[in-house]
Amino acid sequence: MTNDTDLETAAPHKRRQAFTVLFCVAVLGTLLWFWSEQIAEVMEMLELAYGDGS
Amino acid sequence: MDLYPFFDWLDTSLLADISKAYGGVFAVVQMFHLLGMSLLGGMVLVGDLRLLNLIMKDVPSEMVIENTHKWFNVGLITMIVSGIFMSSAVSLKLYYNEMFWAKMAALAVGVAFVYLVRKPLLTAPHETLKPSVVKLTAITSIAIWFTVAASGRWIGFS
Repeated sequence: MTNDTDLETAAPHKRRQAFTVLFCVAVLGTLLWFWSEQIAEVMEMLELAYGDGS
Repeated sequence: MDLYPFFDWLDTSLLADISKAYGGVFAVVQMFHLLGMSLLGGMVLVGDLRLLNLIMKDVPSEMVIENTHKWFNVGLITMIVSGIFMSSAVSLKLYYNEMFWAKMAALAVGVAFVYLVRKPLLTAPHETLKPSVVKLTAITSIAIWFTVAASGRWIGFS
């Protein structure tokens, strides 16, 4: 059975978890963009140095 | 906000005089920087791999997180203090280095994440949290600190 106290303690957890998910998704998205940019730059430099392999 | 005046001041500070003139002192401080980094990285990995349920399954995750967090703090303080000293030797060079700013941004996000998101979330009993949220927190934590370490190494090659 869920009483009022349970509801009171569960609410901040719920909000905190929602905030955590938002923060994590934003950070992971940014990191994904950052690393894909870096890898693209390295690939471009490798292509300039060694050609496209053909 | 332009931080150039700070880097310019750091370049001519007493710290810079010492770090540029005494290679031995720089090497010892760099050793502490690496020690702090390995301590921090180790604590992050142990805590997050426990949250992902991959290691130390017989130890309550609350206990692992509480203990690793204390040593994480020690590693972070060691890294920051030694890092300021080391950066004084090449402060103007760092100011114009893109990867240095990537590292600083990742470090700022990492510190905010640990003290404003991860720690407050994990003070709750872990069984009351959604497993998916706990795992997402662990993966994000590993990704952030990997970026801090990798972009830090990248400074030397950029």
